[in-house]
Amino acid sequence: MRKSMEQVIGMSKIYFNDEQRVKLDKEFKGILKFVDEGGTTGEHRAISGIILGLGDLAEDVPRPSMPIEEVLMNAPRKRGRYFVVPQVVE
Amino acid sequence: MIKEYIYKIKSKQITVTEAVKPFIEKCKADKKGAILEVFDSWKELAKGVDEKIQKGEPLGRLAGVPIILKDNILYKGHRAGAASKILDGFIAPYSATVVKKLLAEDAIIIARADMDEFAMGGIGRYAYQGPTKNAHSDNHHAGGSSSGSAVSVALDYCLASLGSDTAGSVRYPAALNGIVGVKPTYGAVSRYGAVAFGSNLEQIGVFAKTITDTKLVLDVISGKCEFDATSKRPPIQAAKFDGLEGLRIGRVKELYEAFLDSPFAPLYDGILDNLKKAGAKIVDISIPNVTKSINCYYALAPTQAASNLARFDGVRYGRSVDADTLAELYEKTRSEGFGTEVKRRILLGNLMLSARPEGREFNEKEISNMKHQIATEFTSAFKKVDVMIMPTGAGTAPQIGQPIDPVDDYLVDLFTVPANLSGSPAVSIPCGADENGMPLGLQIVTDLWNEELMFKIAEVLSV
Amino acid sequence: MYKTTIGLEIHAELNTFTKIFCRCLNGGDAEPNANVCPTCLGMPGALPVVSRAAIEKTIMAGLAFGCTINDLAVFERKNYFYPDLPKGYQTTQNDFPICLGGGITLSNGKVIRLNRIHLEEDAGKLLHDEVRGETLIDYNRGGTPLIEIVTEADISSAEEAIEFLEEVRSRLVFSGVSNARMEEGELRFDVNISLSKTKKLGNRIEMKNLNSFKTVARAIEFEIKRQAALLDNDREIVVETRKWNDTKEISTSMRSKEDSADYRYFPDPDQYPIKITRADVAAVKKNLPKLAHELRAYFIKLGLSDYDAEILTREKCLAEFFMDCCADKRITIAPTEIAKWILGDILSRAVNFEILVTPHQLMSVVCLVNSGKITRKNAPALLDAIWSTEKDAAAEAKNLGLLGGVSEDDLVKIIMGIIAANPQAVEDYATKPDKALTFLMGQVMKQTQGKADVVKAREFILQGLG
Repeated sequence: MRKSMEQVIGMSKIYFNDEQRVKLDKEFKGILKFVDEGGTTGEHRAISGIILGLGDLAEDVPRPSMPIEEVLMNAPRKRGRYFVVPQVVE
Repeated sequence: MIKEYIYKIKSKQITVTEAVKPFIEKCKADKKGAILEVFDSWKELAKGVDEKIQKGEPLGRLAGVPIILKDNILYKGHRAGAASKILDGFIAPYSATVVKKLLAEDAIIIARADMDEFAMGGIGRYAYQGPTKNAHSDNHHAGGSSSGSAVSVALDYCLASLGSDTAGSVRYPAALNGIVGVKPTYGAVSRYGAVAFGSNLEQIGVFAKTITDTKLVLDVISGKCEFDATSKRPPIQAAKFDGLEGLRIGRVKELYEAFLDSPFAPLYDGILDNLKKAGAKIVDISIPNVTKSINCYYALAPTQAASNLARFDGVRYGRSVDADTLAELYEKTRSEGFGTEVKRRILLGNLMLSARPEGREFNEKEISNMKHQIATEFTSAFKKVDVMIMPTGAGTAPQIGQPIDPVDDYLVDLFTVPANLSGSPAVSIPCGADENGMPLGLQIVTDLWNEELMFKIAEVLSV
Repeated sequence: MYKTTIGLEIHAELNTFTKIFCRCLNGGDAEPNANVCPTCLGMPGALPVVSRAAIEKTIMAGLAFGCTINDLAVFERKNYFYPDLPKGYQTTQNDFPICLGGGITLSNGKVIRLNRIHLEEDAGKLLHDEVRGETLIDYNRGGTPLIEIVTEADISSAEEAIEFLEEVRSRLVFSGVSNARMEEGELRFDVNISLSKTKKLGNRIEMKNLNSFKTVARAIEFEIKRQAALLDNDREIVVETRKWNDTKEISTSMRSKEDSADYRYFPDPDQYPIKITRADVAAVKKNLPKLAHELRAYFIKLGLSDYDAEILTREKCLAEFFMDCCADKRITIAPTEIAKWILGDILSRAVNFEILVTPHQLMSVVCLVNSGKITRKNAPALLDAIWSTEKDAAAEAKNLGLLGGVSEDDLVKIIMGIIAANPQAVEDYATKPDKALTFLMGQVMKQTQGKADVVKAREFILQGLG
């Protein structure tokens, strides 16, 4: 069941006006058709060509973390050692 | 070129500071919209290398070499923006692995180059400062997304530059500006510190004037990185190259068919003829699914883009609006910060990820499977041929202001995208020009991890 | 009457040294945003690199719960926006979890089946400042490896839920994959619950992030009452996520945030799938520590009562302490004796099961008592003195002047001597046992300068009197 354009726009957290929505919907349908023409096997395998083994994975050895100055360097809003956002209502 | 440059420096004919200065001047005088910022820190870097020379300390392989970074590669303490307003003011708190490697070899990083915003574009028209102008003509596009990096090398702003190639974004601008541009095997170069767009499609690539220079810089930035789980130490490949005699050159039927009506077809046919005369075997191969590369890419890339760009939300870095609510913060920051093309791709990506048309289970996994299929077919072709040769793009640079012919757009992607889907290494070298002197590029593609062979053939063809 | 159907989701923080996708420190008491890096902060250009330890501990957990370990592990992105989620997606597992199936048998014989156990990353912590209308974010916890244990809807009551959760916690701790301290938020619970009169399941609600067994029990009981009341009046149960308020002890409807949110799961293109071979699983199995119920059976074999064995296996540290004491070669002593010492003297001193002496220290005290060098009566004082120190028991006993008890053999000799020398007392014992006993004890104490062990002396006197 396809999500409505409205819902998907909500998920993107970007504002689109009506004109843009119509245009994008058309384009999306075009891409779907395009992909359809490409054809697929209908299989669901999320398996890529490369598969790692446990031995390829990283060791559980800590590395030094970022100094707080660098962490907060670009923070648009900060207080003490924290990032700040308008209050989240739960 | 780099070799001679370094020699002058090592033999103390010129200091690094003196040698780099003219490049800085050129950067500052740029009128192509290629340069976003010249880094003042170049002076300190140059001084540091000069001191090393004075003290007689051993020097790196790129001692004093001026290099320009695409704006999506992070350099600690310096601005980086992926040409997007949403990263206005952002100062990189860490350096990309490739940057660390360049600095370790005493390179001088001098500037950051403009690009299509978040690397989403193939022409260079979505650059921060507006469409980047081609090195050879102010009326023509530079190609994208690594537009500024290509122009910088073509106009000698630097000796080499870094770009990123998700669907041809290094190879195509290289072709349009008449220089060399390489996309390495997927996993050869660490992506850590490069702003992500198409995670399993892209690699950081290199621009330079010659194959030798390109190879050198690529070698410096390559290697398995502990911060990038997709990077790999290259398997040992014996690149047997005994000259053109007997070399099996693949001519992909489906690709050339699409190109039949191009005015440049004779040029490329001519190149293949010359190779045949020199003893090479031109093998016609068919990769039926190669034309589906575009379909696959158009469906896949936006999904990764949508997800990779979710982190730009005004909370920890970059542009952030004054907002009373969280929802406002997210929506306003992103709506104001992203350009139209980027927003379009994010929405398409999310539509693709949540799409389940009636009667069919269709989702990202299916598209990924398609990628895998195409990739397998493409790389299997290298059992029958040693190398594939084809045009890099549909033709020469499109004119600024003219609507882009969708057929051309399609062709541009068609030649470059397969190598991104399969991860194969590919290099574009200059191979001629049109009657106005606008450059054309020839693309050489080899099997995974066969850069050695690829460069050798490129060298032969460059003569 | 309604049938209650409950399913649980348990989130447990793994106790690896580093975070799941970066090598920042996992856990600890650091200042806000002290254990962070570009990866766990979601900086541009940052990439995930999974640690082998996180995968192995997940396999270990799967083995502890009798799960099947899949031969392929894939990480997927769960996309949504929230300030504690720096990348705008959580890297988790969806179609290819590491463990499937498994289960736990309750004391009533009922099997609570598991659906799966998968591995994912935790989010940061939010602190709400009502006064300023702001929320503060600390990303230290972001990137902590979390396993999510999902049950089938097999649980029917709060009692079953709690018994189940206690066993879950025990297995997580005993297998060494998580410290599972609820006070630290290392173990959190989501409850799904529905009521129905028929076989068909009713509408279910979800309550998330409950942080203690008591909370889970209260929340379940409240919901059963609430839903029953609604159903009694033929009202509908709205399918929703409800917020549990532990102070008011009620659940309330939450404004549907992104209830219809599509998480758009897809495999993380920054990572490759990971193969788990049978050899890998065998290697983990070899290192799997004994679980509580296995140790319980073993302790009972050693002679402990069911009750004592149960207490000693309530906490892994307690069980290990007991086993280490038993392994002490300096003395031959029945495990039941050691258990007495631990269940008595140690537990009475250990706050929250935190034992502040080593097994070696305790056994030193036991040796001193059994060899008669100090009295059993003086042992507590010695234990107090060495508690939470590294002091040597014998040395400290000397310092405190507790040494110089009478050995058992000497005590027997002395007592026999006193009995022999006091025939009157022996006679009096027949008619006035207490008076005689007191007199004889007094003699013993006088002769040993008070150093005789009172309990033993009394014992031997009684023996000597026949």
